[in-house]
Amino acid sequence: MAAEGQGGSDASAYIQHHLTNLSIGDGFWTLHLDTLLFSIVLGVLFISLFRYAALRAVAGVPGRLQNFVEVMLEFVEHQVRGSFSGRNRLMAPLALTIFVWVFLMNLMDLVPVDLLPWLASQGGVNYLKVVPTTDLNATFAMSLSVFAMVIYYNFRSKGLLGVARECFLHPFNTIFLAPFNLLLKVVEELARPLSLALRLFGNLYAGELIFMLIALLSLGRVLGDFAQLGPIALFVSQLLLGIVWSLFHILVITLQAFIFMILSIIYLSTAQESH
Amino acid sequence: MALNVTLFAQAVVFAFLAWFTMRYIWPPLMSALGDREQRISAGLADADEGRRILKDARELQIGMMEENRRKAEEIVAQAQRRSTHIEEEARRKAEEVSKYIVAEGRAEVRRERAAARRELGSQLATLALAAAGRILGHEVNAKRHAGMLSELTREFPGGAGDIADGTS
Repeated sequence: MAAEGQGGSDASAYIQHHLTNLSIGDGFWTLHLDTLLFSIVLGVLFISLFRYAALRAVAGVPGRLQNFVEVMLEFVEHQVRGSFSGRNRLMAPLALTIFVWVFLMNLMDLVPVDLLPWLASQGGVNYLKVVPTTDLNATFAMSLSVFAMVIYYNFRSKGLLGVARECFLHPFNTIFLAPFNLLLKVVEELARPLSLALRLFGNLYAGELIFMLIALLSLGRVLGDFAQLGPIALFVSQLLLGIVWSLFHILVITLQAFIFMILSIIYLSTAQESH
Repeated sequence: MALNVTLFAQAVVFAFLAWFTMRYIWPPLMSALGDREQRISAGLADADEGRRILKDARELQIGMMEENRRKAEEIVAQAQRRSTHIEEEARRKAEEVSKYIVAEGRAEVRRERAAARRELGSQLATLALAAAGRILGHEVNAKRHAGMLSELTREFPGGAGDIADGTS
């Protein structure tokens, strides 16, 4: 950024402020209350909406809500069935949970960036990060859960021997290269949850950051020369940029939720394939 | 920004959401979808069946109409034959009756003519006797000349002797 002097420190303070979680505890025992609060609220919203639809589900002509929920279900079911050879009654519900929950958490990114933190500050809460998926803890929680399930299903479908063979005799089918094979396997396996979590986090974090920068523009402190255009020009440019980025971001948040779901399905399905 | 215990809390939330979805959301919705699928396919099958039945019924109807038309034609033809027959019969009977009546009439005429001749013959005989009596100057005794009178009467044309001859 071209920000310098007073304006620059203000801007970085603003961004810094927005990137700080509302938390209690120290070190490892820190709990990000805002991440937890929003993800739980959104999760409860998801399950209560879908549960409500499920309770009122009829085989006859579906209502609007049921229609929407059924479309989601069939979409997920289709994806799962497409890449899943075996039968597992956890897979499709898990995929649905991932998709809808991640989507809702991402959706918080479209809430005006300063609105909720400002409301919270009126209530005496100084820090609030409203998008749970911009917290690595949230994305890793999901990707590591999927990773744990991958390990579990690997052992269940291939057995201890099968997993050992895959670890030590693949890709080089010789016992002399077993340590190297193991190293490759570990890297390969670890790359999955890492990339899964970091991809989602990175996309949303960057998106959030850009919303902040757009917001900063109207504060007139980032681009010094630009600020001299006057408040109306700043307001209009803020509005336009905000709209454009929001529209683009609708794609991003949906796509990221979809990617997270589809990769989880793929990882879990390969884990359950017995050779 | 570092990872901390939030991660585990989030994982618990995630596990709960997935479990809840699997337990309480997925099955009822899927069964509703399955039921609807079944109902739709049953409805489609019923529609196919109905269409098939309709087609059969149409064919049956066409067949029956054809049959009925044929029967009606047959009946009409039969009726026509019968009416012709009745007409002929009636004409034949009428002719018979008319012939009979004509014959009867002719016989009657002949009988009457014969009777009239007989009457005329006898009257003529009486008249002849009376005339003869007058000419001869005395009465001809009918009893005495009975043989001659009956002979005369028999000789009279159209008398009892040739009644059978109807042409004269």
